[in-house]
Amino acid sequence: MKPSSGSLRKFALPAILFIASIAILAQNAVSYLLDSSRPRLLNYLNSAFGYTFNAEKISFDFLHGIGIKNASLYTSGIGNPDIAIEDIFISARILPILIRQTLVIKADISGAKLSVTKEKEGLSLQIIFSDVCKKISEKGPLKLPLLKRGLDIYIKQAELTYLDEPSRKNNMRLILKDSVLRQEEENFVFYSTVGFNYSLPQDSPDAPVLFKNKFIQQEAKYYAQGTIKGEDLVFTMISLNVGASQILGTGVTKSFTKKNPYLEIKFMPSSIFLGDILALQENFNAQGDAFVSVGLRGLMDSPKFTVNAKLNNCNFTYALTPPDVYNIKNISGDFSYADNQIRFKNCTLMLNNNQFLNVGADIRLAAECGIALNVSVPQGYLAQQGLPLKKIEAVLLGKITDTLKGSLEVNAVYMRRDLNIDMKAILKNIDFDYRNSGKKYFFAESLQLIKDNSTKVQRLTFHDLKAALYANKKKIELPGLEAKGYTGNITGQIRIDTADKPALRFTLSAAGLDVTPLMQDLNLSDKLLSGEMKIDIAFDNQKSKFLTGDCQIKNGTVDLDILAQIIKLPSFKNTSFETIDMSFSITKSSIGVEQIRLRSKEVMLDGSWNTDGKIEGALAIDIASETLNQSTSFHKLLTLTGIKKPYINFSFLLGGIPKNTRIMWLKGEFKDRIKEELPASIKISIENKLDELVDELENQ
Amino acid sequence: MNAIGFITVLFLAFMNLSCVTPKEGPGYYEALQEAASGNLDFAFLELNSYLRENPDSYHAPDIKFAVAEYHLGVKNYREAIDRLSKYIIDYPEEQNALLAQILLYKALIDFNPQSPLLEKLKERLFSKSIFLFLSDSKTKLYKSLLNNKYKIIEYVDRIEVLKNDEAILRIAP
Repeated sequence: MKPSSGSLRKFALPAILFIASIAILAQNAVSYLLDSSRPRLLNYLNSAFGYTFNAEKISFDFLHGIGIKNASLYTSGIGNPDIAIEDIFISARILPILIRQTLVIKADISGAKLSVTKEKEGLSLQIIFSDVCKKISEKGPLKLPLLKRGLDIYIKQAELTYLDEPSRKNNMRLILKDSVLRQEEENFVFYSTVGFNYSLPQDSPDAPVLFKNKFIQQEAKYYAQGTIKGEDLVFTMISLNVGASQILGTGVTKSFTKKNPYLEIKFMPSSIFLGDILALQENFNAQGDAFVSVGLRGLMDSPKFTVNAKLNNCNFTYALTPPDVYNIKNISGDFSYADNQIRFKNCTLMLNNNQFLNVGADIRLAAECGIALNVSVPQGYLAQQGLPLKKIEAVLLGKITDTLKGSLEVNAVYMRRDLNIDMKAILKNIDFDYRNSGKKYFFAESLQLIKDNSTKVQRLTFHDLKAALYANKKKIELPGLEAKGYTGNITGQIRIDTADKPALRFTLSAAGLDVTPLMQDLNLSDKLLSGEMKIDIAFDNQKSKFLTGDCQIKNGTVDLDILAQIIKLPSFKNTSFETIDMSFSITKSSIGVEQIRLRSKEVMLDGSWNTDGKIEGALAIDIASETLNQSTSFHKLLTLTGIKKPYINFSFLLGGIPKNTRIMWLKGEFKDRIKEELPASIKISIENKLDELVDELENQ
Repeated sequence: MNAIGFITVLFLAFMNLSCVTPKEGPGYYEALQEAASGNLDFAFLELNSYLRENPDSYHAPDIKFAVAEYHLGVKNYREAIDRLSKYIIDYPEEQNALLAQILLYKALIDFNPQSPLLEKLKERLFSKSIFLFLSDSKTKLYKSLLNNKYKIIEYVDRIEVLKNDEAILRIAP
């Protein structure tokens, strides 16, 4: 007789309730047993592994398996735990046993926090892992007849903090979300969403000003698969997805159970969009592609990270001096990083619409950041801006701490009337306070200016150069410039406009300059022998008369050798003067002396000339009769002409070309009398002798 | 004796006459005569022919100058420029060298005012410093085989050139 469905229902419910009760009882009993065994279990672990294990509670339920609440591991027993997990559930998966004869231990972890420090033997977590592996291998691995072993770990969220030595303050964190580690015998797979966060040191005076956010963060999807081969963990594939960019690699961790294993990971060259790198995007609004290869090699506690990249039309924006923003566009070239050194090579770029090429930089990252930067501007661009320059290049060698220290050399080739003139400015021992957003201070121990047109080298040397400096996107200004040189003091101001057409303007005043060393360096004239100079000059590259100046020299000596040879008076080779005043100007095609005046007891000279491809000018010289009478021939001439005046005037017209001057003696009382009195043969003789003298002077 | 002496003298005179050969061959003096008469074309032909037959003649430089001068006179500029340029290179120390440079300048001004050679020539023409002491200028005179008289007057600010008392060129630096 079959039992009725009614009677079945009548028995089912109590049966289910009974089984459920037994199950709940059993679950609670197991939970109770486990939790009461917790102290013994923890002691066992402590003595087995030599670490301090802790757990708030151990429980059991049929759904999740064994649950451990607030588990922690201390290596030192005091302070914060090295590993802390809020919840961990451990169970065995049944299906793999049935399908693949594999016992898979499953662990669900949430709220994990791990602290990593660098110890003498290696990284702390790796040391713990190595110790555990060693202890397990000493006891022998769990042998499961007929069953393979597997692990299936799911980590909902884990935070790994690297504590930097010696301060041990947090500055680098790794956050793993929804991470899965699956291992079956030798094979493993790991994937996770990885977040990286690095805080830039703020309280150090060396904190760089580049990153406005003061931290670097990045998220990526990480995937790795591989096998365990002997003592090595071989990654057959690593994939890193950063935004839309993906890079693939392979690698190996040699002796991965050792305290400090050796890492070797290589990512294949891949194209990355710079905007996908958050730090670059947030701080520099980076755009563009780079073809990048990355490598990591070395012991786990000190791996060497290398990057080689080819930049292709990348753009960056940076507010070095807010609110002004610098746009660096179309950057193409080579970038590399290795051994704490960043290198740019063969780069071209546009900065605020100005083009630069052959840009190279070597930046050593350290407490003091060493930098070697070289930049040049293409000739085509210079021509486009209407500048008479064939080349400008600058080389900066120095280091960046709270100020920029080093040396700067600027080389240019200036085209003037079909001549290429090499110009160079060398600033040594610079100290530049670049950090201030407003007024910055600039100091240079020495400044040397050199001009070389292949036939003549001219130079000027100054020292103790200091100035305030204001810089923004459109201009650089140095008001209140001060310097010393040639026993004198120099003051002035400089302004460089970069907005539309580049413009350079400066005014300089100098006083108390010793003419002797100045003339030797300037190589302008060996006639000015001594004196004290005061000079004011103004330069504006946008004006046709781009350089103008007024100069006064006092209480010096001058070599009037031409006069000395004509009048046969050696004393003129060393003529003392009270003052020489001169106003001059320079254009693209000429050098003009608007006025020159010399005043001395024996000679008074007034003149002006222009050398715009040809010489045009006039010169008036008054020579004291007393001086002229010292010359035998002139004494005779003066007696012949019967002129008795304190000063005899000689006026000349100047012509010819700059290399070969023509001089004509203008009419005057003395000339007219000579013409009347001298016989024709004597006049011809004098003319011939003067022609010979002129030839002689030319050949000198 | 007187007759013998007379015959001897006559004989010696004829001997001397027969031994006297002109320094220049036929053509040179004919050319000069043609030039003096104003027949410059015939003078040119004679001089050319003479030069071909006597390339190493003592008068070769003057003849080459005259040939170049002729080409300039008939406005055969390419030929004039070519010959004058060659003359300046071959005979830099000749008396006519300065005049050759001036005539080359003139040829270039007339034929190709944009020639870059003009600036270089100008620099050469003003390459000597001059001190004009009692006079306002210095003058140099030349006479060519084609009977042209040239006057080169150097002032403080220019050079003026006259040909047969007619101004043909003024050069300022």
